[in-house]
Amino acid sequence: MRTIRVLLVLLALAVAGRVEAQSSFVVVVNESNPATSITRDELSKVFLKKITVWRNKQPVVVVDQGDKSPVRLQFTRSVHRREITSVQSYWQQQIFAGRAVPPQVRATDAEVLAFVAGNPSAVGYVSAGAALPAGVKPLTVQ
Amino acid sequence: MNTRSRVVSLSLGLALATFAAAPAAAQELTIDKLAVHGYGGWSFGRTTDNLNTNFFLFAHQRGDYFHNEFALNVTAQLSDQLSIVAQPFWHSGHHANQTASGMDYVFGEWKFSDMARLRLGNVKQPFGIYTEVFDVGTLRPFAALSQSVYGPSGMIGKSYSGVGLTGALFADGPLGIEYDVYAGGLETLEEDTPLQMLTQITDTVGRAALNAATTRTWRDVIGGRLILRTPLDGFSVGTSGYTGTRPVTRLGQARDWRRTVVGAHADYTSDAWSLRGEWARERDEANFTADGSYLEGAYRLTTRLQLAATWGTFDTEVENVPAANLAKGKSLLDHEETGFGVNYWFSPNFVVKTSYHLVTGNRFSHPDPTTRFRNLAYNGQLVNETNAVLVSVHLSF
Repeated sequence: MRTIRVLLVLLALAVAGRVEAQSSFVVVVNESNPATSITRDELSKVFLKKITVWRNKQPVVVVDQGDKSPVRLQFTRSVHRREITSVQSYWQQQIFAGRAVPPQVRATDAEVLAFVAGNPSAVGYVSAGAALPAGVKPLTVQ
Repeated sequence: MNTRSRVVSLSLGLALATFAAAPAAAQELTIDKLAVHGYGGWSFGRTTDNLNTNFFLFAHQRGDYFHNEFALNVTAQLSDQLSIVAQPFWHSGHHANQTASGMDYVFGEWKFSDMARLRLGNVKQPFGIYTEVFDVGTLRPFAALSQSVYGPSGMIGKSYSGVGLTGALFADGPLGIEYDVYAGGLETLEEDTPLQMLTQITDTVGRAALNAATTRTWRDVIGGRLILRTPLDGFSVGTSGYTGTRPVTRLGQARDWRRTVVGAHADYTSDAWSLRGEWARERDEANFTADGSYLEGAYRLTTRLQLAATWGTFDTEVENVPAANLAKGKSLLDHEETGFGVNYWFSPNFVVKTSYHLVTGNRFSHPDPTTRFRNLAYNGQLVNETNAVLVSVHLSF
């Protein structure tokens, strides 16, 4: 019985995490991208450039938001489950080891959407309320 | 100006000229394909006892204010497969690492896939936790790395020159593996004057001249590193090793002796905690073995205020040294270090660090210059214990 209760609590936490991920921001890709969903863990690895190709073998082009952006804070806590400062330290490690450089940054939702619309391999995220223009579709985070 | 300095100056000049003269099309290349980063810092160190003549790192009894460094990291992503990475550095200081400039690394990388990236050129040596970011102060809790593994014992090099293969396996799963294999040449900084002194500390005549800290060149090096990323976010374990030959005089023979270094590490980082431990052993065929290990922990009380502690030890075993020499100069072989620090992080890119270190042994903490060190050692007047306070500022962008 106790085990079932624990499992229910864990399930509730998992569902809550998923709701938060879906309510505070929207992950977006180019409309031509065949992907329709991605797991949180995969998304984190994509934005940390640990996964650099889509399942169709096309290279991933990641676009991030500025580190003062509220949506960046929500995305980082929800997807990476870290603070922005930790992610910045991760990128320092990658840069100075000569292994990778951080994703390109766009300052606003509109700029992210324009970048994704113009790049078939791009993935980014915008505020949940942002209107998605033609050429951009949401990617469900599981 | 030496050859290295000329190469660095020429490279920087070309880079600046490119920025200055870039037409509109090249500006697009700059924004999307070229990334420029850098790091640097200033450090002050003082040993607290005026009777204590030992140096430790950049600290000495009168205090040294003149220890500065800066490095520029340039990455050009020329295509999905090809990237070029270079990192020139400048360093000034009064002790140990004197004023210098040069290349940390410059290499080209061809990416076949995430599982296989070919690296050609002069590449940061992948060994343990910190070797690839040896000088980057914003990536560690203390002003300097633990001397127990990263000290000038020749255990780790800065970069290898040759060919390497790196990649990640099972990157989309809960368990990930990162690997490196490489072959070529390697340079290590070795300060083995304490060992030279030990061999002749009981002699009364015929003492040979001492060679101070020197960069040694390794040949025919092969090495690798394996890191296992665990399902516990931020926790990884790894093992590293390399072997090669290097020209030293041992057992009365001046020739290329083979030396092998192996190590293991564990690393856990979260938003608040960083806990790290490493062990490494170097052994060469001239009956020389050294073991180094350390533990390092840091905790952020707030996003800005961090407490840190470290403990490390380094033990050297040299066979064929008379017991009388060991009795008189045992401290020349050993190093034990305990440190506590308080850091204030203005941001992940800018930090002020203060720390206190208690060092026992004279392997990495001893008088300078070498003549003074030699005289005190031969007269049995070395001070075995060193108290040092370090203050440093580190930045990166």
